[in-house]
This record gives sequence, C-alpha cells and structure tokens, in this order.
Amino acid sequence: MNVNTETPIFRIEKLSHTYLGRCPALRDVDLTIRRGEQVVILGANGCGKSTLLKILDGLHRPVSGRIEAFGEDVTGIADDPARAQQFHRRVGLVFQDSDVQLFSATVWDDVAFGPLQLGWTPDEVRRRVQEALAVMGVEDLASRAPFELSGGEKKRVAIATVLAIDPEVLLMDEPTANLDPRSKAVLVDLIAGLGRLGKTIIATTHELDIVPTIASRVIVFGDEERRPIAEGDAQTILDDVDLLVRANLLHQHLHRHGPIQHAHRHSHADEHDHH
Amino acid sequence: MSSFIPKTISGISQTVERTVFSAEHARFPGLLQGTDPRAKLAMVILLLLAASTARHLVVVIGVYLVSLLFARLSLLPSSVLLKGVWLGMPLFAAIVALPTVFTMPGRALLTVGTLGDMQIAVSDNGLSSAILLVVRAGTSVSLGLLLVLTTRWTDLLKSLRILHVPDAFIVVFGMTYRYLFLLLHAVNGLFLARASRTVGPIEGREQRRWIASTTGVLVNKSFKMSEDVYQAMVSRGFTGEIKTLAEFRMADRDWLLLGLVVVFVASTMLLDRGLA
Repeated sequence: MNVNTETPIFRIEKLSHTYLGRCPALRDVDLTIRRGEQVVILGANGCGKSTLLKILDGLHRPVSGRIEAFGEDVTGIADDPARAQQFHRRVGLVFQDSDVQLFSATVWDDVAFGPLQLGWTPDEVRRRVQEALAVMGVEDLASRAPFELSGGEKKRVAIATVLAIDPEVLLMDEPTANLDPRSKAVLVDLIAGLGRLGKTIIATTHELDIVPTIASRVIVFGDEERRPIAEGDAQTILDDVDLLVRANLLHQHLHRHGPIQHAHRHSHADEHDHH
Repeated sequence: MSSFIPKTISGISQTVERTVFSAEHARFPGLLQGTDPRAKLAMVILLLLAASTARHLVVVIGVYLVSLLFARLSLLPSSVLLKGVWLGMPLFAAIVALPTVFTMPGRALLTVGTLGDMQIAVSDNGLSSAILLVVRAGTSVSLGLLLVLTTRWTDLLKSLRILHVPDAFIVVFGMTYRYLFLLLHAVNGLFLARASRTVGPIEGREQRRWIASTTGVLVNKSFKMSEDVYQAMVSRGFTGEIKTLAEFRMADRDWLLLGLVVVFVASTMLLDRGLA
C-alpha cells in the first residue's frame, strides 16, 4: 500500500450552506482531507453530513466558502457540466438511498452507466464493469433487475456503480444504514478492504460500531454547530464519552435487565457494557 | 374505494416492474429481441400506418395476424398480448365507437326504439365501422406492446433518434421512467403503512381527505426523488446525453425483415385500395 497522507485532496475553508435560504446545513466548515486517508465523518442525523458529501462531489454549490480539490478551486464546479464530468471521474459518491442510484434495467447496465457516460470504449466498459462487480462480490447479480435485490445487495451494487469509474476518492453517505447485521458486516469488511488498497474514502455515519474498522481518522460534527467539533483516531474519539453525548451520538437511557433497572449512556448501534 | 385504489396501484406497480423495468420479455431469445431496435421501430411504425389507414376489416385483421405471428416468433406468452389487449381495451374503444353504430346511414339491422318520428337502429355500415375501429385499436395496441415488450427501455429510447426526436425529450422520457419506478414503490409503501394502522371501515370523507393529503406528500417526495436520481446520474458523469453500450448494427437479417414488412405493408395498402 503506497499512501501519501500528506497531499491534501480536499481543502475546505469557511464553507457554509443553507437550504431555501433559511435552513442552515453547514456553518463555517474548515476541513482538510489527505490522499489515502479513510475518514469517517461522525454525526447525528441532520447535522449536515450528506450536504457536505454532495458539496464535495460537486453536486451543490455552497452558499459561501471555498473548496479546493486536487489543487484546484472547485467551489462552483456544479455550474460547469464539462468540468464537473471530469471531476466526477476522480470523485465518486455512493448515495444513502441505493434506490436512487440503481435506475437501469439490470445490475450490469447500472454498473456500466458511469463508464459509458465518461465515453470509454465498449471493451474498456466491459472490463471495468466486470472488475467492479468482482470487487464487490456481486458478479452473479449482473443480469438481475435492481428491484429484485435485498438491501445489502443493493448497497454493494451501488458501490460497484461508483467503483466502475475507479475514482481516486470514494464518498459514502451512511453506507451501512438500514442493513441487517450480516450485510452490514460484509459491507464493513469490503470498505475496509478498499481502504487497505489505498483508496481515499470519506464516509459519513452515526453508527459507532463500524468506525474502528473503516476509519483512519474520525471527524465529529456537532449536532448544533453543524461543523467539526473534534477529530482524531477512532479509539480516541470513541473513548470520549462526553464528546459523543454532546454530538448526540450517545444518550442516557433507563432500561431493565432481568430484575435490575438502571440507566447509563449508550448508542443503539453498538453493544454496551451492562455492569 | 378503500381497496380499489391501493389494489390498482399495486397491480400497476407489479406489472410495470415485471415487464418494463426487468425487461423480462426483452431477454427472451426470440425473433424481435434479436432485431436491431431501429429496424423494429421502423417495422412497427409501418405496420401501424397500414392498420390505421386501412378501410377494410380484412386488411386490419391481416395486420393483426402478422403482429400475432411476430409475438409467436418472439416467444411472447400468448396471454400477454391477447389478454393484455382484448380484456380491457375494446370496452374503451366501443364507448368511442358506439355513436357511429346508430348515426351512420345504412340498412337497419336492429331497431332499438323510436324517438318521435325517428327510428333508432343499428345500421350495417355503423356496425362494420365500429368493429373496424375496435379491431384497429386492438391491432395498434398489440403492435405497441410488441415493441415495448421485446426491446430494452434504454434501447427503445435510443432508437427514437431515427425519428429525429430531440435529445432533451429522450432525456426527460428516461428520467420519467426512473421516477415512475421509485414513486410506485413510495405509493405502495404509503398505502401499506396506512393499512397497517387502520382498524375497521373508514368514512368516504375521511378516505378522500387522506387521498388528498397523500397526493401532497407524493408531490413533495417526487421533487426530492427527482433531484436525488438526477444527482446520482450527474455524479457518474451524466451531462444530458444518453449513452448505452448497445451498439446498433443493422445485420442482413434486420434488413431482410424490414424489407419483408415493407412489402407486406405495400401489399395491404394495394389490397385495401383494390377492395375499395
């Protein structure tokens, strides 16, 4: 694995975004993502994680602030389709809802969609599709219709649709949301495997249990602040209970275990100590 | 009304999924499935032209029989074309054709009553015109179904370019197809969620209120969904032009089939004129 963690891929300065001119999604975000990093953006629902990923993917133009990617200013790239297409060759986004990403008649067509839009030759498209399906372990689903797939299968195919473009940066919005435990475990292993191959990954989640496996760095977004309030390695962040409570990732909950009734902080995404 | 709407929507959803979205029949190794989509589109348009310009029932029936032959050679289940066309469509066509039965001058076949001095009767010319209209409509729908069922949706869209359909239209059409799939699921989900919370009968007024509010929710969902699907496409390099891998090549067999259809259509037109 040849990872240059010093080269910034994204440099974000004072980034703010609002919806309908009044609903704040992000406030004064400063962030740097380096090549080869696997960054997890940890935050509660509605803290602006998805908006940030869409801005990083050049789909939204932020209301204010500046984004630099690969050494170039890409703040307004959403308004320049030709430049945006080249940018999407290098940065791919896996959406939270796989259904919006799988719109073709078959899985194969969906995975081929990206390479085809980028104008690659038919042989190259076929090769890329085959490779992406193999990496995600979904070759046997190639001729199936997307609506026939389970949630876990859909998510793996959705990732394959992006991998087929072989982007330098993989953005993943809540990759394990709504998955059963087995599908989730398979997917977490696949994401970790992509990270070991040196892929730059930026994933958002509020599920604490997947963080140690997929993150080389964790950035915590504040529920109220809508900007990063802390960052560090996975263990340091997960050990900071006060921080997790403040970010609305842990809560205090009264519950019963047999004859014992007690209250302590926990999240529903993880097993917790009951003593 | 309580079960009619959800059942109808669920039925539409399942049918659309099974046929259009999964391209179930387009994957069969039949005659039309292996034909270049452009040749297929041209053939269907020619046959539609023959069916809609023919003035004699025997000619329209001839075109219909050709469509059945194509269905057979394309390995389509007979129920898809026969039931799909003739169970519901004639009712609507007959409603349109009904006034002709009584108003067209001709020999009275059956007197159904009088209106003052005027006799209300089914005329022979009116009846044959009505039958011609119904058979023509059935034939046209059958031809349309043949095209849609044996062609993958993306190829069908691309083949529209031979008609010089603007790209913008094709893109909008493609997006509609994507939204339809997701929206049908959303509608089904809403009805299911409601059914799971409903005990006992509900008044008609309450039903109407719920349908109205559901429509509002769906409009909102459709806006959000349309933005997400479009962004998912843009995120993978889409810039407004549909690109598919199917590289259409007119093989000798496609030219031969198209030629045969041209000869058939020309013959039917000559026959129709000869019969006149």
